[in-house]
Amino acid sequence: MGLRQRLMHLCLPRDIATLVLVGTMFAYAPFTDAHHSYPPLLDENGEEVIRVFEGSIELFRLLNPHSAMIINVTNENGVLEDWLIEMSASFSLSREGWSDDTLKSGDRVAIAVLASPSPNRGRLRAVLVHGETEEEPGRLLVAYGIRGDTPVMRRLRERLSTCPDIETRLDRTACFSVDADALQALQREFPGPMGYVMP
Amino acid sequence: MTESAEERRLKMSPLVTFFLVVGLFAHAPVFGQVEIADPTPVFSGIYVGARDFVKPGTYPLTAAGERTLSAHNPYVGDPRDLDCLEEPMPQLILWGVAVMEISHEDDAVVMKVERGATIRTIHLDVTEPPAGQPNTARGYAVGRWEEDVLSVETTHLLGGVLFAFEGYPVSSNARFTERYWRNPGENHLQMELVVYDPVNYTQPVTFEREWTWSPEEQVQDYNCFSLELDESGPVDIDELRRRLEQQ
Repeated sequence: MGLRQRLMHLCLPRDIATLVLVGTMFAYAPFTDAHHSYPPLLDENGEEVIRVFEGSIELFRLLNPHSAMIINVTNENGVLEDWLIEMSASFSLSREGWSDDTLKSGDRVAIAVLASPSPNRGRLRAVLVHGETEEEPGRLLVAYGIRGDTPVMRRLRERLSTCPDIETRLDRTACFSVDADALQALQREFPGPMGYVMP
Repeated sequence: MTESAEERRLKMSPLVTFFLVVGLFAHAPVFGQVEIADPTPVFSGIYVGARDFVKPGTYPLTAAGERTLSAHNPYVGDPRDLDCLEEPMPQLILWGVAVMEISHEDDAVVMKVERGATIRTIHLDVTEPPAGQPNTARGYAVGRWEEDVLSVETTHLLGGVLFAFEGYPVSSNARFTERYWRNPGENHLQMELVVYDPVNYTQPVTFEREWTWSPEEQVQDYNCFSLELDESGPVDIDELRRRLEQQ
């Protein structure tokens, strides 16, 4: 048996194994990620309720199994409220470049949260952290409901540059730099409160 | 007539060549095969579980399994799904973002999983769990080497769900088998997990996952802080603030 024939002979079982493997993979669905239980608040159509606030960050901590921030917001009726906003685990976020200083006490924010049955608790969908001055660009950090290969993520990637210090290697979050011109353009194109991160 | 030294050397030459060739084949590895010095490969190292992996498209539930699944409230969750407990089997090897360190001890393979700071011991020095073994979150795991494949059987589980949130049930009488191996030329670990649970499933349920060899990673301290999962009322922000500031 020549070398070529011998190699072909050796390769055949591997080819069959590959076919079997591919066939097996088609018989299975890809596993999607899941988290510890979160009770989403659903509307009458079964869609998750998204609430949008203007406010400021009081406290942010990278924690396991869920990071957390307390925000001080003004609700739709003009009443001040304190909310607990949950995020991914510290061990995930820190691998994407987050630290306890990524969000600072006093940061002015617009925030979209996935509401829960609890009246002052939700998950972070997106937070726009305004720059400290008019000239300083803000940062748009996105998480639940947007992260991964989603229409909203593709929309943002097409229009904004990413932050240098956050690397979306685990698809937990993404960060975009947003200057005043970019924000105005987004607001024109996607009207409504934080319309640019809405489904 | 006596043979000259040159004639004797020429006569012996084929014989010497024969023994030389036989000796070489007896001691050298056969072409195309990798010589394995130790029959039990060492899987020591840090691995990151591939985020996308395969599970059954549909679960072959029994009638009892259907009833248990229907009764499961994913938002109340499995009682083991509390923030600061070690992870149960098989959830600890199914999380999306999973970092695991494997080390070999004298009579065991030890898995250290970052999530929940979970330690799992696979016992290699026994063939079955000891008498009186209690049922626990990770059960009792017995392993053995089948050439270069680590085969594990786990029993004595608490039962509950295969994976929090999805709620597919698993009984305390379930049996898990796992196989871990490396493909030729790779350091990544391949895993196959099969769940045998006739109470809830008419057929075995199979998961497959690759664990990426990641020497640059490290298993970080978990430093758990429970935000508590009671969703029945408003969060006491003052109490949370106090706890976070003490942390």
